[in-house]
Amino acid sequence: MGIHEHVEGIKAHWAKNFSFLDYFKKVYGRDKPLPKWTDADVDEFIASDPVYGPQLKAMRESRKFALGGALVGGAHLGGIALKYSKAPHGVVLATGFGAICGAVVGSEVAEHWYQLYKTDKQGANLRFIYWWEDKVAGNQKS
Amino acid sequence: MASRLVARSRRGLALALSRAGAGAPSRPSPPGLGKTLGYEPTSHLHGAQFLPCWFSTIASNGSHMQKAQETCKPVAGMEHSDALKVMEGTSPKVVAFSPLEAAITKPRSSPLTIESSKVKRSEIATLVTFYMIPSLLVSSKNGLATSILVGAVFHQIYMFHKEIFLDYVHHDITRKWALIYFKLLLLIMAKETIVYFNFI
Repeated sequence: MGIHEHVEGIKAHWAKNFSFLDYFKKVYGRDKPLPKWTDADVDEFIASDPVYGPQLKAMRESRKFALGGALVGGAHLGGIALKYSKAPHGVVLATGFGAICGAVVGSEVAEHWYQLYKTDKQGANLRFIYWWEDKVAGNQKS
Repeated sequence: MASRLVARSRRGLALALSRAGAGAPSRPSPPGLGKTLGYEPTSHLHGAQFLPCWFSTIASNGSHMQKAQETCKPVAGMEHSDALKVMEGTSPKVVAFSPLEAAITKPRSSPLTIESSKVKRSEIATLVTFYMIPSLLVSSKNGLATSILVGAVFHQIYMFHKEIFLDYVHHDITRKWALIYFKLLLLIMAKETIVYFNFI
């Protein structure tokens, strides 16, 4: 009885741990995919929603930090490989690896710059998707 | 061994000093003296000049007859007084070395032993975190244990890929920078994993 309860407790604990994956089920697990949206649609949502609009705007601004970090990381590690190792395949791999690491570090910097750790990022994305779903359904009706 | 060597060298020194006191440097040694010292004097070498070199060689390294003769040949041309000076300057004490003393002395310190201890500690940490993963997996029910588990998993990921970097990135500076980038990447990913597990 004790072991059984312990095992059930562990299962519940890990189910709670992996509950963040439900977001991907809601976004990608649809019967019919949503039509593609444009930047204008996103800007319309940002202007219309007073709670999740600024969060989504900050999240989109974070992409610039990630891109900048990728450029810096790729240039730095690729430069080191080019200066010391001088192997062409090594330079290519080092540039790619540096870009990935730099993008992650840039995203982390953006998270602290815009204080995204205080927001619900998955909630903001889901709110936009529900808004877009309603808009598309309304357009189909009219 | 050492005590017998010291006794022999002391007796030889006494005999040589007594012969020097007699004041007959160029006369060949008598047969009785040769039998007492345990060797046959050769005709082409003067006994008086040969004795101090042999004594000093015995006192220094304790080698046997042939080696003594080989080492004494360059000194055979020296004068009697110079040979006596060389003999008197030699210390008759023998430093004893016991194999047990090597075990008592502390291990030597060098960059290579420091690097070896670093690798040893790293391997121990990898082994400990490896067995932490199943232990925490079957026993953790709160956020703290899960965070420690995530840290152990990412440590395993880091050590696994570090071996790959050590095998395939051959230049030291490039490898150091690649490992620094990889450490930063894994630290941020571990932090994000802990946040997603415990706070979402």
